[in-house]
Formats: sequence, C-alpha cells, structure tokens
Amino acid sequence: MIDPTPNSSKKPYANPTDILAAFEADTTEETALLQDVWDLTEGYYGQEPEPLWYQETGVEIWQHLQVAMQRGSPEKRSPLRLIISPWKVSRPMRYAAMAACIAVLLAIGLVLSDNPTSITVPYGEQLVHELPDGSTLRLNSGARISYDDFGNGNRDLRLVNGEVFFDVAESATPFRIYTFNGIVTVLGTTFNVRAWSHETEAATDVSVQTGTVKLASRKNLDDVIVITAGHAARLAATTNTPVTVEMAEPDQAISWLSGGFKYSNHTIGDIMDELERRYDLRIKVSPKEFLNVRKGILKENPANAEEIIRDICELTCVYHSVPGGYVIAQHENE
Amino acid sequence: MVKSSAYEIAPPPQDSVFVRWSTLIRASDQRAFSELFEAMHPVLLRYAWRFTGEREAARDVVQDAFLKLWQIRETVDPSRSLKALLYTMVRNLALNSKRAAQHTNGVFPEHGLVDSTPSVDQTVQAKMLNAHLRQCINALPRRRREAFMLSRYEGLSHSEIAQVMGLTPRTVNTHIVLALKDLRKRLGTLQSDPSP
Repeated sequence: MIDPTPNSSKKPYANPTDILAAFEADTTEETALLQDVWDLTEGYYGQEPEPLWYQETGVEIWQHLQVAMQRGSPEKRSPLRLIISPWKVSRPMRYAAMAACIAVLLAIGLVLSDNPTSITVPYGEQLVHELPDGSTLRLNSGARISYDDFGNGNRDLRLVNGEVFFDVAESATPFRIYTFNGIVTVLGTTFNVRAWSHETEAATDVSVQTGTVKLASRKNLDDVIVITAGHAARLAATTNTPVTVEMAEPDQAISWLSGGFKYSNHTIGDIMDELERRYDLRIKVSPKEFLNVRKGILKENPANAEEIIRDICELTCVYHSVPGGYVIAQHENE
Repeated sequence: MVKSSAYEIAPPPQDSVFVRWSTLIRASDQRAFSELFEAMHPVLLRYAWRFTGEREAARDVVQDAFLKLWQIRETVDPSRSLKALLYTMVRNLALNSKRAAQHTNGVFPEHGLVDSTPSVDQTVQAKMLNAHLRQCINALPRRRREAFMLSRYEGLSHSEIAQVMGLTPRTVNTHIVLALKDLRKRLGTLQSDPSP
C-alpha cells in the first residue's frame, strides 16, 4: 500500500544546473561562465504585485469561470451529473469553496521562499516521505504538501490539502504545519492532520497519538487549543475556533494507515471524494441531493472500493460499476 | 510568522499531474479543471502581469485563457503539455491585449523596471546592478529575449518554451545560450567590480 520511494518531490523551477545541462555549450568552462550570468540575472523584476492580489483576483476569475461552466455543462448530455465538485453542491457551498480557495492561496505565501519542494500524491497511492530533520510523513492519496529551506532554523511546512500522518523528530525548533485555516505546532510527537479545504464541512482535523500538539486558527493566532495523546481537535472553516472532538473509535483518524476506511457522520459527497482519491476512481452520484445525506462507514480492512460502496448503499442506493469507476443512484422511495 | 523574504508563488506540480488533468478535463471533469485553476492561476497571473504591466489586463487575460481552455476542452491533447498550452494562450491573449492598447513594440514591457519601491536591504550597488541588468536584457533581440525570460523567470523547460513560441527545442537552446553569452559580454564590466 505504501510506496517507499518518495520520488514525486521535485524542484519547481528549472534551476541553472538543469537548464545548463540542457544547453549545448562548447566547453565546461563556458558552462560555468553561463552559470554566473544565470545567477546574475536574478533581479530583473522589481516590485511584483502583493500576495493578496493573486488571491483576490483568483477568486474573482473563478466566479466568472463557474458561470461559464454551468452554462455549457455536460449535464444536458447525461442524466447523471458529475456532482462531486464543491461548486455543484449548493450555492452557499460555492462560496465556502471559494473561501477555502482563498485560504489555500493564503497559505502559499507563508511557508515558501527560495527553493520550494512540493509533493503531490497521485490518486490510488500513498507515500512515505522523510524530511531533512528526520521526521517522517505518511501521505494519504491526493495529499499535497510543500516546504522550502526546511531545517535551516525553521521546520515549517504547508499542507496544501489532504491528510498526513506525522512522526516528528524531537528538536528545540518548533515544527509547524500550515493548513488552509490553521497552524499546528509541535516539538516532537506523532499525530494525524486532515485538511481538505473543499469538503462540505471543511476543517483541519488533528488527532494525536503521542505527545502534545497545538492547533491555532490562522485568523487569530491566540485562539489555540492544546491536544494531548489520545485526543482530537477540529478547526472548522466556518467558525475558525479550534474545539476538542470525541472520536467514535480512538484510532479512527489513523485507520487509513493500516488500510482502513473509517468516516463517521460525513456527507455522501465527502465520502465519495475520499473513495475517489483512495482508489483512483470516478464516482457519479444522483440525484445531487443525495450527496448531502450523512452516512457513517467503518471498515477495518476493505478488500476494494466496491465493498465500501456496497456497505454505504445497503438499503438506500443502487450502484453499478462502469469503466474507471461507479455510478450510484439513490432509491426513489428514500 | 510571515517570512521577510519576497512572496513566492507555489510552483506548478510535476508533469504527470498535468497529464492526468488533461485526460480528465477532456472528459469535462470540472473538479480536475478547478484543481488546474488552483495550481496554475498564480503563476499565470504573474506571467500576464509581467507581460502587460497592468493588473486589470492580466486578470482579463488569465480569465479568458481558462475560459477558452474550458470551451476547447474536448480537443485537449494529453500527449502535449497542458502547462505549455496555458502559457501559450496567456501569451497570445496578452499580445493581443497589448496590441489593442497600442503597445506594439517589445515583448516585455518596461514596467516594474523602474524600481519605485526598492526593498530596504538592497544596497546602492545592487540597485545599480539591477538597473544595468534590465538594460542589458531589454537590449536583447525580441525572440531571444523571450526564450531566455521564459526559461529564466517562468521556469519553463526547453520543450515547453518550444511549444509556446512555436520553435524547435534546439532553436530554443540556441536562443538561450546566445542570450546568456550576450549578457555575459554586456554584464562583464560590472561583474569585475568588487561588490560586497
């Protein structure tokens, strides 16, 4: 299940060595000279727009795009709509999704600087990634993290989206995780963080296995909650105040590490999103109202996605498999 | 909490992610499209802003590019770089918008080149170097300068630049090497100065 080769990390911008390797320069001496020029040309652009402009403009453009996409949406051709997308759930949700979008962008500016590394886990896969300080991350399907000069006096990283289990090496330097709405601070411990900004009830969920972890709101850094081993806390996008939560089962939050699929009291839409990521599937659900119905699913060790869908549906829906995924329809009498 | 270093935009993901997005967007997958937008709009906005020198124009250009991509989604070829396709659309739209605004000469404008708000830690010498650098880069032949800048400042690969500019990767290489050689000559005088 876990891919031991974290090879999806990649330097984002072509660095001079890569570029110069691509050059057909005459001599190595010449390559070195060209490298100097490359380094010297760094300061071409002076003052660039401030981060807020990128965020606000992004939201503005996305609003326009959504209108255009709804107009020419594929639903006319198919009776089943591809609804598992944040902006299709309901109108208020669209704005929540946009708000989440801003929050994600906000996060971008905080952790990155000179040499950012970013990792995106492909659907259907999980990864183990070791950080320079010896901390180990286990990333669930679809998760995206990034960090820059990690270890040089800081241990900050950004969980852009997704779920990661952290085993943080002990150190005097605080280890900080920036999610779309929260900041998780630790000194050395093991815990799970889940933060999907486009979920119906988007939140940063932290579940601690050993040690102590702090969860703060990005909106108000003084709004902090301390989470001890065996406990969990949630920072919802709507309230932005961290609160402790009771888990149905103590190890529910980390069941994914051992192949489990456990989500209590989530909407069908969010559970289907999770299934799509975990098993690299596409799932169509109809009618769209069914996406907001709440369900709980606690599978210790499902053999495949179908076993989970079968359990979810039971008496409420029918499903059939199609190439690359499933089509689910709610029973009409429900 | 915020670092003092300049704001850095999150880099685009690896190529395999773009291939996946291409395939899904071809099939009208709106979520893949939203993921693409989330990942790419900051770099494209920056590119468009550098190109047009105006925020309004940059916004319109990026919006039109994504709109067009959605309209032609069924014709997207997953074997070609989706990232380069977006850059191409932004570039061409930005060129048109500049033509409409009657700024016909020069691919990259002179905006941002005048350091109206220099950063505090910049020494006088560094400022002079940057001013000189801009002069040198702006003096390059138009196509050569564009190839160099796409490589140096937008981080595109040779093959992506080739797709954007309609050249072969080999020609792109020649352009960039010649640009660097040219810049080396022009910058040579400053390089030999003792700088702190």
